[in-house]
Amino acid sequence: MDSKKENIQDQQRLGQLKNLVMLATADERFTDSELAVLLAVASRENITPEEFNDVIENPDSVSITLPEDEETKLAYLRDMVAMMMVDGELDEHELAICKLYAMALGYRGSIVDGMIAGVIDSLDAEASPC
Amino acid sequence: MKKLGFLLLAFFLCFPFVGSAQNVETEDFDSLVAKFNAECPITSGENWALTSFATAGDTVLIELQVPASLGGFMSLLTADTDNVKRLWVRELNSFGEQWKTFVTRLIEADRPVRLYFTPKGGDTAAEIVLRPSDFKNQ
Repeated sequence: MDSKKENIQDQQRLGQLKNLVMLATADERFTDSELAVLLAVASRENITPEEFNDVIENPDSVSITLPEDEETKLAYLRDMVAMMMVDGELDEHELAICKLYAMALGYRGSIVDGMIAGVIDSLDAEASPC
Repeated sequence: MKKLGFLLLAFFLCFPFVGSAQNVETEDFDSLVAKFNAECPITSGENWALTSFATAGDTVLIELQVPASLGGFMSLLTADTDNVKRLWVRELNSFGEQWKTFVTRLIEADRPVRLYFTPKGGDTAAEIVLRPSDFKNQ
């Protein structure tokens, strides 16, 4: 893989972490469950502890680079929806950010509504007795 | 010499007409903006508030204030994708019938719209330019 492509992928994965950090703090609360999502994504994206700390401490140093392949786009959007829902509340600003992110990726904003409904359905199915 | 004189005469005869035609169009457009401002006070969309609306030369300038929490997402607000442009055209269309009339004139006059975004409590952070064609496609 050439260094230019690697650089773009680095920007994408650090940008995604930045997105999630900002989304988690959009409602001015930062919960343990939100931290857990951050750590899970950092692990999946092979983000080092140093990179993690850099993004947390200085998010402005990271620019957001949108992914182009469908698989990564959907994975990143799912991360955003998970981060929005994990504290158990649907904050309107967080929802607006998720929809904006979906649209910037080239999807309709309503894809986020579908993802939320999907998560709620799954939770309902797990909670209901067999 | 006669030829040069004729050319100069033709130039001076034609040029003022071209200039005044542009001025008339600018004045018409400015007064349209003023009328729109006066008759259709715009306060807010779903997550943003309009803070100023003006013309500068050929361009219509619209400044929107967004919540501070959206400030970090300026690159998303201003992403150069058709979907994001559609979002803003839709938001602007929510200003009502007067805006739609205004857009018709905007397209006729071939004027771009420059949207400036200011996070609450911050400086202008980003902008997006909507071309008349973006409005035509809606």
